[in-house]
Amino acid sequence: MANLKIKHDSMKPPVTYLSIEDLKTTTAAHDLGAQSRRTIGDFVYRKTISHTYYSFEHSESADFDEWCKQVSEIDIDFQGEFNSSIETLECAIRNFSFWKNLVRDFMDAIEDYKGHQKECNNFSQISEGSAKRLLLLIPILANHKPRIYIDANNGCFNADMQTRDNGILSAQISDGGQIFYSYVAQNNKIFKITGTAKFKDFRDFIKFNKVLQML
Amino acid sequence: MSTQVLVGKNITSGNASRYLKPKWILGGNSISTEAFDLREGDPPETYVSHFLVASRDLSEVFISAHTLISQRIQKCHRGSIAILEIEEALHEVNDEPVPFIGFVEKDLPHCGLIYLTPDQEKIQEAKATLCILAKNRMSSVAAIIQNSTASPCLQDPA
Repeated sequence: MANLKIKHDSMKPPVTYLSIEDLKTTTAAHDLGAQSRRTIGDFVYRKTISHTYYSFEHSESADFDEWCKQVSEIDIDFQGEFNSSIETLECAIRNFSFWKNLVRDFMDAIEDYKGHQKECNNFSQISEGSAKRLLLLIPILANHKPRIYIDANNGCFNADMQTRDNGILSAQISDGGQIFYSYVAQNNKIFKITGTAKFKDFRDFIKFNKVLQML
Repeated sequence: MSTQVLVGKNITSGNASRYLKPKWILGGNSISTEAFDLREGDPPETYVSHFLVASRDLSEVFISAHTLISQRIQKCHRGSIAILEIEEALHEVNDEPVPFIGFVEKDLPHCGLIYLTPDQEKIQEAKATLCILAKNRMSSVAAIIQNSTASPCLQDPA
């Protein structure tokens, strides 16, 4: 758990500050080059002038709401002309180019899956609901180099991430607002932290960051 | 998956080898849960293919596994092979009153890993646990081939 210091300013909303070491244990780990770029994010980082602390906005960011709005408006046709859907998606993420690599991984997973679908008729159709919810998570997944793939049993997206203790955090995003996750590693023996995150509003997916802090 | 019908005899011990595609290997030699997904074959498969390997000598397990797998997968030299001790896997994964996974015979030495629960949360945990177990006993096919030509005996991969 991050060691937090709460700073209150009568002129501004409360802002939670994290030390550099704390950042390494949270999803806020990020290169300094990103500081000057506009990200979704005020929820990501903002370097203070005289301190080596980085701020983490406690409240939801309006930019994340904008990202949610754009994702919700994307119409991806997995069964028809997927190329036109890609163009739509790339247009939507133009203002969020920081995550283009992960969006590319997302598209590669779809292309790979569609390739297998042609060979095996029993593959489930890709879940659009799961796809959109994975896109929502991209801002907070981006720094963890997830392996994205689609479960042929139900067409839902999965993200696997290696943890700092050589374990694995695996998450499947359902089409109904649930994320099934399991963190498994070995200390003295194999241990597991498993659960289901449930979100009813797209804008709340940002809170999955709490689970990713285990990484 | 709750409608699966177990076919074949249950297997409770032995070494089950699994071919790992290169894309299933994450950084740091971790394994993606995709390696234990149900996604192969047509008609619909209800198990994840493994091959039982005789375990007379631990050092030869990988060589034996490669011999079996290379007969069925032409381009296996690009990937890796993981060995699951079935008894250990069942013990580590099935830690609740209702088991999550099982292993069944499928025309030996071919056998299948089956999921016994429709609960996606439990399936996610089972796959992640199998990944950790497989990671502890994994070797690239290239290394297996190199070692088998250099020496008949392999060092303990763990």
